[in-house]
Amino acid sequence: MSDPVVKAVNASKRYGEVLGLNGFTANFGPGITGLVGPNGAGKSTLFRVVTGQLKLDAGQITILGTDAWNTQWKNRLIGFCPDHPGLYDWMNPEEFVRTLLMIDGFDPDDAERRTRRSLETVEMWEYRDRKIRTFSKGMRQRVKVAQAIAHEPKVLFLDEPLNGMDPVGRVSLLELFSKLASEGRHLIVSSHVLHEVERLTSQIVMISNGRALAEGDLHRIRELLDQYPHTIEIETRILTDHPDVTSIRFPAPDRITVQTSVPDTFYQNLPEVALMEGINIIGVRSLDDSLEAVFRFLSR
Amino acid sequence: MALASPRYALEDETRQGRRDRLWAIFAVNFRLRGTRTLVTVFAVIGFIATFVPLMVTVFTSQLLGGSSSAAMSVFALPYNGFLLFIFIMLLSALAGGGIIADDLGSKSISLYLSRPITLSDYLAAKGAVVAAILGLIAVIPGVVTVMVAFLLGYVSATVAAEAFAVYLGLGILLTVTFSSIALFLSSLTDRSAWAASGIFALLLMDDIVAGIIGGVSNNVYWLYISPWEDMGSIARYLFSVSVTGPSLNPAVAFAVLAGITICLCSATYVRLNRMELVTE
Repeated sequence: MSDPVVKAVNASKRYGEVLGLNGFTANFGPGITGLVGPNGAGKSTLFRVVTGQLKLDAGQITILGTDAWNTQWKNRLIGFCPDHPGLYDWMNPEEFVRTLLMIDGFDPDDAERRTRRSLETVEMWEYRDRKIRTFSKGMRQRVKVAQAIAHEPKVLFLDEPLNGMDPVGRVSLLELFSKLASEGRHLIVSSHVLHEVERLTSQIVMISNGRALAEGDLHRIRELLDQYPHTIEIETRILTDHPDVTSIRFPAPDRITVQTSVPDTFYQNLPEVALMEGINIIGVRSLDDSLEAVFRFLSR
Repeated sequence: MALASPRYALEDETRQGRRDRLWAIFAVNFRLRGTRTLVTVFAVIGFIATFVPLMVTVFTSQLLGGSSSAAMSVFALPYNGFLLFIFIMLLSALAGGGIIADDLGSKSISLYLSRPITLSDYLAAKGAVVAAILGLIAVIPGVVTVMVAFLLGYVSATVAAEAFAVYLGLGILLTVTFSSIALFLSSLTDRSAWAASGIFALLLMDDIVAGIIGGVSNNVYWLYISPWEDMGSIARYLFSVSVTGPSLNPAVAFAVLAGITICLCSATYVRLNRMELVTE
């Protein structure tokens, strides 16, 4: 078995009275590893620790064999796509990615070349002159991914990278992540949606309340999931044109919530159905009740 | 517990040094802060408000002094009044308020710190941005006046060289001190408007309170708590301005300013190093 790329042993991080990480022990990589957990589970805390932005109170986390804290040089080897906006809205994506590359230490010409390549990779080059503030959430996500991959890091930390993406965008980003892994890069992808991660990898770490609840093959854990109905929210404007929309007791006029016991099939068929029926889907997200249920189950 | 993981060598690729990386942070932030309308307006007005009276004073002094060159003391003008201080306060607040607060608010600070830079690098580059903007009115008008006065023959080469050096030294001291104040207050909040208000209010109230207590108690030492009074004291000493009555000791004033700067820079570092940059 190959050595892990990121290794955490009894890692604890406290925010005042709240525990961000609570004796977290897990191995990540090589290849793609999914970090799955509900909101507030400690995923972002873990990412900030491995990128050297937070210091652990106890325990140890190493990345590429080096302690995560106080070794800024190692950041040359990693790419980080945060879950929050974190973008300079007044810039266009070309300026934004190029600036971060120059902070990485690339000379202007090299930064220019890499900027173009990374924006082309995430299909944002054609929007290079538009201010980021005019972008949709999905476009912003792509810019964040572009800055994370532009310096060709060995390890990529992607915090909820598919959040807010439209179905087509999701597919293209998932393909990109698979391609990056096939090039020998290591990806740690966090999500609160197990089914997203499932399309990327079978290796997952489940985290809840700052603790690793399960680690290993996804399919064994996934069997637990099938015992619970899966709830998915679809954001679409199709119902706004419908004369009866105001009488529908859905969460919002432009939202439908569906339940399915076959989420895999549903996700697989959704783009085709939308295309055939001419439904304009703006976003899809798992409401993740089932995942919470599994976490509760695992926590017991 | 000791960990054993694979060790990866850093690839031998060409990357620029620390100075270039800091410059990249400086450049993007200077562009953001320095091109804001209010900053530009106050920088221009501040420049004119400092340069014109100083030039007039130097010209008048030379005129009244006959053929002899203007004395060194005339160059102390910007530090003898409050006009420059007002613009320093305004620019400190406008340029410095969001210098860290905006990054905390948008959480873009985590994008900086996930790069191969240290927190010290980040703070140094951010501080340099505020200092450079303050320098537009704290250094440039003075040195330009000296050069113009010298070229017009209003001052001798010796006086010009001395005045030039003093303006440069005072400018560095002023910009570093006021930048450290702005950095610290900006690191306390993620709202730039609050930080800007705090910077302006603190500097203004500090000077007013020092003046009132100093006046009421008839104790000049209270003025040490005002950075502007400290700057004035040092400037008067360096420009050889004769002072009647009790006044601040320039060496002590310098020590106070250096102490403020060191304490606030350290406090900002500790604050950002310990704070949870992002909460979930």
